[in-house]
Amino acid sequence: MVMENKKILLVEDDQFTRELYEEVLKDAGLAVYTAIDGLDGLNKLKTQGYDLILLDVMMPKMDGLDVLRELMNNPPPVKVGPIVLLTNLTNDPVIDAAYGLNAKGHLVKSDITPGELVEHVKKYLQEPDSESNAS
Amino acid sequence: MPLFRQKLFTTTPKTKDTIQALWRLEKIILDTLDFTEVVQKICDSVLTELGYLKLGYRIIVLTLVDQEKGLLKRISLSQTPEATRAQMASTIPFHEIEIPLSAKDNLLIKTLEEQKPNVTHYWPEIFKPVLTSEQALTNQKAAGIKTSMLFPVRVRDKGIGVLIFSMIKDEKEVSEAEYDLIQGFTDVVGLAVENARLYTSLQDTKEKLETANIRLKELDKLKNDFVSVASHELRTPMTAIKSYLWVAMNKKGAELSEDMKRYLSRAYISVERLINLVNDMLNISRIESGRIALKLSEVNLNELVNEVTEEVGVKAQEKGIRVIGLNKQIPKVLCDKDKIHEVLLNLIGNSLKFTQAGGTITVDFYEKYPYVFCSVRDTGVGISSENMSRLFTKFGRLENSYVAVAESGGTGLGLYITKSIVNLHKGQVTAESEGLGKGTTFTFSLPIIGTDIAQKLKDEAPKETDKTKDLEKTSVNFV
Repeated sequence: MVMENKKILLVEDDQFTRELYEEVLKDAGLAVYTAIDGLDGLNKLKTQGYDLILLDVMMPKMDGLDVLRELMNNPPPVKVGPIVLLTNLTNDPVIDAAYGLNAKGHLVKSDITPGELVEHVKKYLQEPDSESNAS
Repeated sequence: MPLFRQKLFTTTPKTKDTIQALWRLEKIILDTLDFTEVVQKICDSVLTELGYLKLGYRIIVLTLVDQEKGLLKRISLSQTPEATRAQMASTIPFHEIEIPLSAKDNLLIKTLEEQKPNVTHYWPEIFKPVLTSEQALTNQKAAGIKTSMLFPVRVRDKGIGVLIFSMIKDEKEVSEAEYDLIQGFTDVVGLAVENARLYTSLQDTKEKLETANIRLKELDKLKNDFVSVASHELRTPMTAIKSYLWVAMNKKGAELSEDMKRYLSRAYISVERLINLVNDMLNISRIESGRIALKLSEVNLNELVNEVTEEVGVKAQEKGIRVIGLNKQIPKVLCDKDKIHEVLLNLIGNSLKFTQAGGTITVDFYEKYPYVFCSVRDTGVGISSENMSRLFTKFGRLENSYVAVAESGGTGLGLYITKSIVNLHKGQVTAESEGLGKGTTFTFSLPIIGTDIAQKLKDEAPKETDKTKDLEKTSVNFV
C-alpha cells in the first residue's frame, strides 16, 4: 500500500507530543497536517477531507468530543474521513461516548510507543472502511 | 425555724398526696430532654401544676455551678409577675448575676457547700457581692418577697446548684406537706438537670460527628478527584518523555554507542515505571472509593490460567523459566474474568521477576468448599518471614528485592492491588515461603458458583454505574 498520498490530520494541543507524532508519521511517508486545538481542527476539517484524523480528547477551546459532536450535527460539505481518538486513559469513559459519535477507534498515548502509533495508523489506513474515504 | 431543722434530711415524702404530686412533677420534668426546656419547667411546674401560687410562692429560681469559671449562675426563673418586677428593678440582668464560688458569705454558696437548706428574709445575703445591699433590697421590695428558701440541688451527693423558692409568707407558714414536696422535688431536679445536660451534650456531639463525617466524605472525594486530575495531568509530559526517548533509541540512521543505549534505556524504563505508578495509584483510588465495578460471570479457572501462561510464554522463555498450568478438575468460580486475569498476570509476573533462569513457575488448583484455591508456586528467591507481613501493603516493597524491581518496572503496588481485587471477590490472598532461596507460593481463593458466598458476592459486589470505571493497565509488564 502506498502511504505517500495518504493525508493525516493530527489534532493535539501538547506541542511536544504533536511535533513528535508529526515527525514519526512523516518519516513513515505520510502527509501530515496538524491542528493545535479542537477549534483549529474543526476549521481544517471543514475545508478539506483527510484519510485519517487523529483527535486528542482533552484540549482547550473545544475538546475532542465536542469536535465529534459538531461534525455529527453539522456535517461539513467535504468528506471528513475516519477519526481515531487519542486518549491518555486506558478505560476513559469518554471512549464509549466517542464511539457513539462515529469515532472509528482509539489509541492510549501513554500505552504506545511512536513506533506502535505508526503501526496503528497504517492498520487504520488499510481497513476497507477508510479506502472509500481515500482519494 | 423548728420546722427546717426537723426536716433537714427527710427526703421521703410522707403522704400519698405528696407522692402523687411529686410523681406529676417528675413526669413533667423528666419527659423533657432539652436543657433549656427542662430548666424552665423546673421553675414553672411547682407554681402552675401544683397551684403553689395560692400558697404564697411567687418566684422560683434555679442556679447552677459553672465549674470551669468558678461561678454559680442564675439559669432560669419562673414566669410570674413578681419575677418580672424583680428583674425590672434590677440594675444587672438576671442571667448576668453570677456569684463567685469563693464568695463564702453568700448564702447560696453556703447552701451549695454545706448541702443543707437555708432560709433568708434579706436578699443581700443571696446577691452579694454582685449587687449592693441597697440594690438587692430594691429588687426584693419590687417583687414583694418576704422569705426565700434555698435548697441544694444534688447529683450523686455532689452539689451542682441551688433552687430558690421565694414567697410572700414566712417560713413558719410552710406546711409539712409543702416542705416535703419541695424537698422531694429538689432531689428530682438534680437528676433532671443531669439528664438534660447529658442529652444536650450528646446532641452536640452527634451534630459535631455528623459535620465531621460530612467533611471527611468531602475530603475523601477531594483526594480521589485530585488523584484523578493529577494522574491525567502527569500523563501528558510522561508520555512525551517516553515517546522522545523511544525515538532517540529507534531513530533510523543514528547509531548509538552502547553507553548511550544503556542511559536511554534506563531512562525509558524509569518513565515506564512512573506511568505504571500513576496507573496503579488511579486503580487504588478507584478500588478504595468503590468505583471499580465487578462484571461477574461463571469462569473456568483452568482456561483462564492457560490464557495467561500463553501470554507470558515468550517473556518466560527469554528468561529461561518454565511456566506450567496444571489442569485439574475444579468447579467453575464466580468472578470478573478480566480482573482475575490481572491478578494471575500480576502473580505470575511477580514470580518471573524473582525467579532465576532454569526455574519453574507452577499454577495449581484445589477445591475447598465453598472456594477454589489457585496457587502460583515459583522456585525463586523466596521471602524471609519478617518480610511476609509487608508483602501486601502499599509500597511494601522488600529491601532485598529493590534491584529486581527497578529492573522490572514494578511499582510496589501490584500485590496490594491484587489483594484488593481478590478481597472484592470475597476471596483471600496468602503467601508462603520456607525462606530465602526456597521459592514462594501465592494462593488466592474465589467462590464456587452456586454457593452462599457466591450469592453474597453477587449481592454485594460494586455494580456498574456511570461513576464506576475499569482498571488502568496495571504494573504487570515485562520490560
